[in-house]
Amino acid sequence: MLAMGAGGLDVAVAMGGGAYYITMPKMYKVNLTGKLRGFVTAKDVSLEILRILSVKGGVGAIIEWGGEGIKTLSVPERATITNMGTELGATTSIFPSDEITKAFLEAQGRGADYVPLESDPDAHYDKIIDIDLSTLEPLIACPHSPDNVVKVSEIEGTPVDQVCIGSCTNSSLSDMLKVAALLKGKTICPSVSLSVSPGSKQVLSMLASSGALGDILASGARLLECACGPCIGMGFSPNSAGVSLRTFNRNFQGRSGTKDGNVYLVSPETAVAAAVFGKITDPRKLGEAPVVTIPEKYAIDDSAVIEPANADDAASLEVKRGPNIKPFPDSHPVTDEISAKLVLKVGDNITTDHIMPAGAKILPYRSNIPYLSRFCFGVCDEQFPENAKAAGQSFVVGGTNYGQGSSREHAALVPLYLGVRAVIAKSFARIHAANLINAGIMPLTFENPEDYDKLAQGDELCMSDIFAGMDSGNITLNNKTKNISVKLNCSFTDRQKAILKAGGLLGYTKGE
Amino acid sequence: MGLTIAQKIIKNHIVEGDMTPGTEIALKIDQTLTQDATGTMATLNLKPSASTE
Repeated sequence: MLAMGAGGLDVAVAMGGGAYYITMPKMYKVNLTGKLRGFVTAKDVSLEILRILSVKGGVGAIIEWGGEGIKTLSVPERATITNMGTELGATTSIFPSDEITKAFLEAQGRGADYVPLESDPDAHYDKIIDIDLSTLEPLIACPHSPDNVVKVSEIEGTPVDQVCIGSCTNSSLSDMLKVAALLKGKTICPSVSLSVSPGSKQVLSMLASSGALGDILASGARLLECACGPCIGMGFSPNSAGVSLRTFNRNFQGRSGTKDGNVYLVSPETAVAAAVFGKITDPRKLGEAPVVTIPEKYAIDDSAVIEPANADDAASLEVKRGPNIKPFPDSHPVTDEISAKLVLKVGDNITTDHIMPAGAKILPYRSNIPYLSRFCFGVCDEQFPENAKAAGQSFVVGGTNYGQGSSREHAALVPLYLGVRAVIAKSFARIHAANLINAGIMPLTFENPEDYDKLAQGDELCMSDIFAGMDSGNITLNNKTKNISVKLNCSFTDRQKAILKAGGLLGYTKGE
Repeated sequence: MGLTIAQKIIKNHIVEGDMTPGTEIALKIDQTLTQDATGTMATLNLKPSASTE
């Protein structure tokens, strides 16, 4: 299976049976040799590849892990490595499906789902990287980027305020059992607060029934829900200017909920060493490395899984929306002529965080676009939401690299809700331009960047013959307030034109 | 020339385009998963066109 991260609209289309569009990636291979030494883990392998490639090194590529060294890695260890491939910017990462995969699936009661998968011997790779597992040491990613990697031994002694174990990267039963074995009989340093988030109901119940959970709790750890929690700043935000060691995959500045918090990324073993000693410590000082094997049978309880309703009953099902679950904003198909006010003019390098900020204050309202809209562009112009609503439909003008940053689709959905019909900029960040199109908002560029100066906030603008302009790549924008016109460019694929005319990806997909 | 694991999976799911790196391709998706914070919005998008597949 290839697993790829995608925006909500693309996921919704896939759920509805539609195709998912990507750019065909290049192929990279990482060849592993040797075997990890004690207290060196799969997390250190992911930190090593981040050290080598950087957070941009995997952009446009799929990373395949191979070589004899993979035979020493269990499925949960492989999952830690592929999980963190996202931080390389990679489209996705993959391991072969082999006898180790087969044994894991059998232990999960899913032996029948096993399919062997391997690359052909003469397959071509655009880049090949070799890593000798037996030479790796415990590694740590320093603030504020996952590729800011050094050896743990290089920064030993830094006092630690907080340690968080868990997350999508390191919360498997194997990780938790190692943590429990290392914490058994110990009490964590009084100046440290330690959180543990097991990865799933299965992990938590097996931890509990084995008694390992008791060892974790007795050490002074606090048990959190099986969820993202501290990783997305929902609880356990570090103290001001505090140091937090986390087994997570991201340490971007402010993500923890504390703007000046210093978040480091480590293995569960290195996390335990910091919790016990109260400072960054090479985990090899914990003594004997714990040996944990994959259980022969995992505890299977799918009783909480709800089967889909059958087709007859589905039609009569009611979607219950609490006060914070609002419908998706209405779509507005692009028409041949659009007259609208320029309600906001911003400068260069506007990020998706400018357009739609995140954080604990706003995150709980992810399904409430009307509420979120109050914060839209708040850092640029607090009046923007009101002005846009008053205008009914509107244009936004920006400088270069408009929409840089994340793939956050709310940065397109909220402007859609507020009536934005087109964004005119000197240039766009690629993913945000795609998200605008998915929301039915036209991203248009100035033919002459200096024309940016000919438009002022509050001007009444009009575009006509838009459909012909989409085909020719040239749209004329009339500034009715100043009685001048400005040439705009666009380069939409046929699919993108159809999406815009359908008012966005949802309407386009329904129409197909 | 032989294929990588990823190319084998893409080949089995491609519905538009060809496997030339850098060009747009469309893939048939077998399974979707969503996360707590963003999944609700995705599911709300889905509702009017729900598939039973």
